[in-house]
Amino acid sequence: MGTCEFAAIGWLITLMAVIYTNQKADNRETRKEVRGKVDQLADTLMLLNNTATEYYMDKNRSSSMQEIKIHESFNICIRIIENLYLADKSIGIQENFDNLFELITSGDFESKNLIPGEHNKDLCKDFVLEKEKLIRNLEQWFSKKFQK
Amino acid sequence: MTNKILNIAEEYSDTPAGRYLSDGNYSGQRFRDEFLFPALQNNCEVEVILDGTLGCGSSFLEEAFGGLIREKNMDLAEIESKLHITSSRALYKNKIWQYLKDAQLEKKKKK
Repeated sequence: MGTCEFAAIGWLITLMAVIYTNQKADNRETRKEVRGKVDQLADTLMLLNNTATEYYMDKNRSSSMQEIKIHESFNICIRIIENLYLADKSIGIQENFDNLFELITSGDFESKNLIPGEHNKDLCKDFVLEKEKLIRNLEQWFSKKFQK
Repeated sequence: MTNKILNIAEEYSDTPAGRYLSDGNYSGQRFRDEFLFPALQNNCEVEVILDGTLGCGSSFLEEAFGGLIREKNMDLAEIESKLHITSSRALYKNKIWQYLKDAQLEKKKKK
């Protein structure tokens, strides 16, 4: 093998190493970006859960302010979830999110008949359970996708 | 017969809320009775735009849309042929069609 061939192989190895390093860096960047969205979704769900619990249980709460906060949190969650689904359709959290939407905004939500108090504690427990299921599924998806 | 666009935020309220008339001025029942049902009766196609609202609860959406079948005795097939939902929040669009299908199923069970 002549000098030229050795040089060509050397260049090829260098090129492959550069491509490999770039791919790794891209994957790290994507992972970081998605992790940020996952964390933001978890934080917003926590806020949503706390606001909804206060809304249904605290007799001294401001209902209109909390209704606004609940809608705002849902809007943020919808945006993040739609964004995550664009990246990967296999996340598997839409059903949990739909259930959470039903639990929080059906029944006496935004109704004059709503009386906040202890009698709504089972409903509030269901919010927490559904939120936890959603976060568990989300974390499982994330681990599967990025921590192979 | 014409086509009608119903922009909820512009023509009704940017904060539609509640199920029944007793829940406030911008309930699902009032939207259905005074806006949506007449629009569907008098037009070939109706496009409902949900963008621009703060958000819509399940109680509002279910009463406004599911109530077309339950209270106004409309048929799902007729609604499907006339109604178009526009929303950047896909959740609302999916929910509306789910409420309509559920209401149709309930109606069939009662017959």
